[in-house]
Amino acid sequence: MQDVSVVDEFVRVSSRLTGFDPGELQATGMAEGYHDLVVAEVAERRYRRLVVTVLEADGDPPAVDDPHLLDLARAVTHLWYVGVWPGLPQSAEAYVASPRSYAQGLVWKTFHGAPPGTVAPGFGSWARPPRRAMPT
Amino acid sequence: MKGPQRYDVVVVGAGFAGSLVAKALGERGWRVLVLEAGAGTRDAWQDHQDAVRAFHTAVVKTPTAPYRTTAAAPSPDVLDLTGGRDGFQAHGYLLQRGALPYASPYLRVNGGSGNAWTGLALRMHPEDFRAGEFGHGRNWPIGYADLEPYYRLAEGEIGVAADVEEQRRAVGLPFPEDYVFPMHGLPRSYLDAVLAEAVDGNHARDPYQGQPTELSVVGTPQARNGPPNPAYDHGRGYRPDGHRCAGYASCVPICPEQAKYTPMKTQARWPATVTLRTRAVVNRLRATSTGRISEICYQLYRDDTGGEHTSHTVEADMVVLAAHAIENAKLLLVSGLATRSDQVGRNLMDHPALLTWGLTREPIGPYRGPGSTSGIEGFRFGPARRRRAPFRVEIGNWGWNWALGPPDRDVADLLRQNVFGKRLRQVLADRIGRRFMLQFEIEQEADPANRVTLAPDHRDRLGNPRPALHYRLSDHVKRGMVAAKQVSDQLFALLDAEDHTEYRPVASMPGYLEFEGQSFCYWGAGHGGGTHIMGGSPHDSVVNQWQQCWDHPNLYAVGCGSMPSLGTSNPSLTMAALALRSAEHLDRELLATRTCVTVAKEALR
Ligand SMILES: Cc1cc2nc3c(=O)[nH]c(=O)nc-3n(C[C@H](O)[C@H](O)[C@H](O)COP(=O)(O)OP(=O)(O)OC[C@H]3O[C@@H](n4cnc5c(N)ncnc54)[C@H](O)[C@@H]3O)c2cc1C
Ligand code: SF4
Repeated sequence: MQDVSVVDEFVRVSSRLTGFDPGELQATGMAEGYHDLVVAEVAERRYRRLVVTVLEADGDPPAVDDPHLLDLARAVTHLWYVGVWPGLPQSAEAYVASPRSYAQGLVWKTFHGAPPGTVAPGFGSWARPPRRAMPT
Repeated sequence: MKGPQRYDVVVVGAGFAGSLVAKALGERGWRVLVLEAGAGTRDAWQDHQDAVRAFHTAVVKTPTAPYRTTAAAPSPDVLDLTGGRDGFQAHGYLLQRGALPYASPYLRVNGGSGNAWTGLALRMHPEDFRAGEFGHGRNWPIGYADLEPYYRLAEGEIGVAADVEEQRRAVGLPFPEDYVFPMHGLPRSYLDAVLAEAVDGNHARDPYQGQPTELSVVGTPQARNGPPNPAYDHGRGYRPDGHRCAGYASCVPICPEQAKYTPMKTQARWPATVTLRTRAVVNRLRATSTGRISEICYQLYRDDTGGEHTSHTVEADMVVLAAHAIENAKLLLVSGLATRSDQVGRNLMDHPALLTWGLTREPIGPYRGPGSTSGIEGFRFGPARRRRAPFRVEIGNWGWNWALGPPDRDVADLLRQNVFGKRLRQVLADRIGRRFMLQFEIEQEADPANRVTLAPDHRDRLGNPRPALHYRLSDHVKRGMVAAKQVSDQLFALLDAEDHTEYRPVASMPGYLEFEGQSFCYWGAGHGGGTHIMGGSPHDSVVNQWQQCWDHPNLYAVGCGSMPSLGTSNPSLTMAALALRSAEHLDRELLATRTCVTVAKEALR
């Protein structure tokens, strides 16, 4: 088992970056896997700096000015939103973290949709009006 | 030495057309060997699971992404083309030598392109068979009435869901009085309903039409499972093959539910008389001096990434080419066959699709259900066809996916602009939740200059020449684009939608073009045809009305390649009807050769 607090911290950072509540992020079931992926992909010092910067910054979204950190902030947010770890640095190859990460992409949840080929809402479901967009 | 194996029939290609022909002939007791270039096993369930997983984990989800393609049997992909200020560039399997790119993929894997198709199963309009009478393209040697019984057969084999009354009334298709489709029409999407509310009963003007066209949103026949119609087959009903469509919204490139028809369903119904050999690339046919095909040569390979192979031959009384329009032409050209008319490889056609995209006022819930459930049919027929190409309006349920890709790009763009947090979430919710697209599939007429040739200096991993394409669009087609765009503008206005359509000479728009001072872009619909065109005379066509090569009585070339015109409907149902009609002819011919042999033997006694 992971140290739960490390994953919780990652979720709090991710929540600030993505605009999704920690609870919503936990509900995807991806938090631990994404945490592990990120710490495996980037140097620990860089990751720690992102954590400190994001958690200490006020406001939404949190201000991240250092371009180096900004790239990492983008990568983490991108991972949550579409399930793809983008190349970091940009020359590296992007990859889909796992089939579940595609299915749990937040971008689809913004409009109460689901990524193609992952959810079967049932015959004729497409005829109904969509659920209203997110509460603000 | 053991002589080559012998079959009654060899079918080249286990795709859409080949799977149907093999089943029809196998059921009549003929021994059929199907040679399939692509990989794939008959453990269809495992292959399917692997494909769904490959789709989920592909960074770019192209139509070919889920499938196990091999280096030995390469397939063209949509990513092979890029656009730009200096015109387009081609990087893939197809060599492009024309003014414009042939922009459609096809799939060389067991089951063929029909694994990845959308599953829209429309009939052609009776007028479409007489395209030549309107001064553009060619007439068919047969008409709608000749094909009608085979349309019904194909609709049963494939499993089509549609409303016969609506097809009669709104499209003007003749059906036998008591006919109903195997399954009831599928519910239309919420977007269809919103659009219908805004446009039904209104009119749109098209600069080439004397009268404005009345607008009406009409359900599209679908090759995916819905509720069976108990009245089907004179009250005998219909048993759908597989589950009901559950709204996975990924029919292209793969239906996880297996609710959409694919040729794998037909293969599962093959009788024991049909043998499938995969990873078998047919590379040449040999003919005797009288024109009979005496030998089919093929290459067997093992490895997915290499070109190592062994060479084999097989003999058959009848040979059926069903390798896709472009590959059929390639095989005829490589083998130097059917040369009399000089039409092999010519008349390459597709449906250039003009896409327009925008935002509705209120969220409509994109990315739900089948890719398209309805269309607007009024621009498909009538005298305006003389002045501009006709087109069909397909209503797209999957956001802006076809033109601009999935919302991944929006996320990346916003992040690049430092949009994070709640604002990122809100902007995306608002943008994507209101997205819709209109897809204008324009008829392209048969033009002998649009052609497939061989590129002997460019060979694939097995040493076979790659196809080189010469492709362009006529002004007639471009006038169709002008009209389509104007109709689109009026539909957007009626819907009070925000138009975001923009055609630019950028990498993602290889089909960019300018015409009469206006910018356009077309996308390939995957409907390649015409390359072994059917006609009434051996002097100007490759195959006769049975898809039998004029020059080689025991060689048939089946598929969209035989179609003299594509009309404005997606072509595969028509292709399937033709294939089933040809199978009957093949059966008669096989019986005739057997009878001749028996009679000759009797006479000798
Ligand atoms: C993305 C997409 C969406 C589409 N949507 C629709 C739609 O909604 N409605 C519609 O009507 N049509 C649609 N189409 C078109 C449809 O898929 C084709 O019309 C149809 O599959 C053509 O059938 P075919 O049998 O001629 O070729 P294919 O289905 O491509 O089959 C050819 C087979 O031959 C094999 N083969 C090729 N070369 C050789 C060789 N040398 N030796 C042995 N085997 C060989 C291939 O591996 C393949 O299995 C779509 C196409 C695409 C790409
Ligand atoms: S909507 Fe979903 S279930 Fe229906 S055919 Fe398409 S992919 Fe299959």
